[in-house]
Amino acid sequence: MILFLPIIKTLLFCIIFQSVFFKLLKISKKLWPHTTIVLYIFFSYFNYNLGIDITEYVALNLMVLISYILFLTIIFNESPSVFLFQNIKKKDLKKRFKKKNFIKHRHNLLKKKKLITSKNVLTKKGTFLYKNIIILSNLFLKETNS
Amino acid sequence: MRLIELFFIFSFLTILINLIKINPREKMIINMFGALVLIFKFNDNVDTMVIDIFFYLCFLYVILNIYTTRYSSIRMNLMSSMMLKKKIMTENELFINRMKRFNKKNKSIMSFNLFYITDKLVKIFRNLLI
Repeated sequence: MILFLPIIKTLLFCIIFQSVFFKLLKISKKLWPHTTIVLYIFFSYFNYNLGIDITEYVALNLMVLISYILFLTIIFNESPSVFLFQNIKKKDLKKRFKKKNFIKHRHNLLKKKKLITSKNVLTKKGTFLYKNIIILSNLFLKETNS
Repeated sequence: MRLIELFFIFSFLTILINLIKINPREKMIINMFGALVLIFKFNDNVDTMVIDIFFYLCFLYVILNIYTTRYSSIRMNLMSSMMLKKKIMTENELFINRMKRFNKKNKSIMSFNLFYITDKLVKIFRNLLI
């Protein structure tokens, strides 16, 4: 448990402080990736003790941080599937869904992150990201017919 | 160094299983079975076993995210349409596409059960953070 407890403590501190930042101090939610990385690195450093193997500590923390950031994208960017799941029994579901403008929102995010140009053409950064995801998926987990 | 070695072992195992021509859900089940056998076989200590299982679960979550990003992400769909000069998906098409996932006959990874578990966690974190 010498390696496991500091990780759990880091994650818990990170969640508590993020809650304080976003709910009490009303810090802009757009800053969620930055606050997550800074708080996580700070608390992992704070919770480190000399009895722990540094490479194992860094490797495990890195894996947990990546997973946590990927999970938080569902929370802050809102997933259409989760939205549907939560509202599946509501009468005007299609109308509500369309009102959320998921595609428009993601399209704007692509522009904001400079992955596409205003003329809807992929930038170098966008092409790099797109191709890498295809490569990683082909390598680790792909549909049989693709 | 043990966890870094384990990362390469899990990666190698995942790449090998990905070569089998079966659906992704079955690949994940074989992957979990294989990884758990490896973890139990090469651990005689409960502490390291807990760490290894936790590390593997994070690894699995990242792999699942790569898969869902490729086959389900709206941003990937938009980028793919732009690259292949296809028509961009409409909100209506997205609605129809996502509703299909809640069909009981849907046996893909992105099925009702996955969203059931995700939904519980999302609710907790939304209350805490938003």
